[in-house]
Amino acid sequence: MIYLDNAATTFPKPPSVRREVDRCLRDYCGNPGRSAHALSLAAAEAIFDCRREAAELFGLPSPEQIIFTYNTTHALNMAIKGLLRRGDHVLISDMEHNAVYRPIWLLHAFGEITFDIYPTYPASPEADVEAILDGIRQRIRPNTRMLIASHVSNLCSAELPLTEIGALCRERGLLFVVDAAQSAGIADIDCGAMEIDALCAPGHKGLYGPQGSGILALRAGTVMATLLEGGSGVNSLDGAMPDFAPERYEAGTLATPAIAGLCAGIRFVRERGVGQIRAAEQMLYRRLREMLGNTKGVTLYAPEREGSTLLFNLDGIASTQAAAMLDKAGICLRAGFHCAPLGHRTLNTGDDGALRVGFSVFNRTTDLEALVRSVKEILRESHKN
Amino acid sequence: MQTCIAAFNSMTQAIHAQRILAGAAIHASVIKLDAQQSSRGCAYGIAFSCAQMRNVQTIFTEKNIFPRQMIGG
Repeated sequence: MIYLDNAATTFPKPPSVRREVDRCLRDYCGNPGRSAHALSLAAAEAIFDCRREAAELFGLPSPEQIIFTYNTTHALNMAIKGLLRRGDHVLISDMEHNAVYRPIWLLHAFGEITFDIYPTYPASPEADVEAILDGIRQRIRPNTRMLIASHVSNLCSAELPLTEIGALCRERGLLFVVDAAQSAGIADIDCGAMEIDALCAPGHKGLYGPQGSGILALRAGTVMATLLEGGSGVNSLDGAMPDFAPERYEAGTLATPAIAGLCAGIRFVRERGVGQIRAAEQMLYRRLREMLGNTKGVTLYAPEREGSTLLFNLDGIASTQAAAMLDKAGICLRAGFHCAPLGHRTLNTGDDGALRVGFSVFNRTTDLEALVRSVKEILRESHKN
Repeated sequence: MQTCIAAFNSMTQAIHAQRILAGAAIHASVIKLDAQQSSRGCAYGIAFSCAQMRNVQTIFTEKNIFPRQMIGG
């Protein structure tokens, strides 16, 4: 089996991640932050280790700024619903995933907020940073309070200039929320230098952790309304949630085995180096772009944006049908709309969606060669009929 | 050995403080505070030798660690 659906979730996981999840479940999976007995403390220390690894990876001074969530969607909902107030205006990009679009749409439908979409020109080779910043500037209103940016698209490899957007947000007093679902572990992220107020990242993609792990990295001093209330292990006699991070935002028992695995995943990424991982996946991207680009009957989308994700279609074959055929050939990749209607509209792939290849550090060029052989076979068979 | 306590709001803060002291070769144990030491319910702290009180206070100041209360010493 060849797995090329790493933009949805990376697979396989590094051996160190699998070992740590197993070790946690066997040796130290007490309830963290609820007691000071040996097993609870061991679990709490593992959780703290992961906070520290994540804080260092994302350029945050304190482990307390790392809040664990179940996925990026959970983190984004916490940031969006916890920071916005009635009457606020929000800017989101034209490449946002439904993890951003749907909570924003719902708040708008309830009359709580208004929003506008700024263009990012992902399919235009001429688009530059200044054009994106101009598009943002033109849409800022007196009541604009937040800007959300998908760092790297989940459709193609279009990447937004976070440093420049963050500086603009700082200058105009906007909260800067970043969806790092496709970039955490693959692109350099420095929350301080990029002026990020809330960074939302998955544990189970580029950080190679288990599903059920996610991160909300919050700027020090930022206080959000809570999305969930409940036991936090502290100030138990109060009706109100604690007023300090991370416990304020982590109601209920944490997913200790997933977080322990995530810690091993972040260490794996840091040992390899984010820059090395990115370079390796860009190399795979260029190789596949070359092979598919030379294949008659294949359409590539935004191919000049080199990264970890390549989007394409086969002429005359629905993307879901093509994916089913590839699955029969032992190749896993994703078809359809990828929960990103805004991005598909922007890339003009809105009618049928497209096929998406997502790389990980475990893919090899032989995987790509097998994919291209199968694609050619599918096209050949299709033209016979 | 007389034991002193630095009281914190949470387990996270207590472990953070413990790790920082460990980096300065000062041993401290994470403890759950008694009800008398935490009027709002569950809270955590770190216990260490009172002989280290001055060093602990200096390190906390340098590292921007702010205990809710220092007990003993």
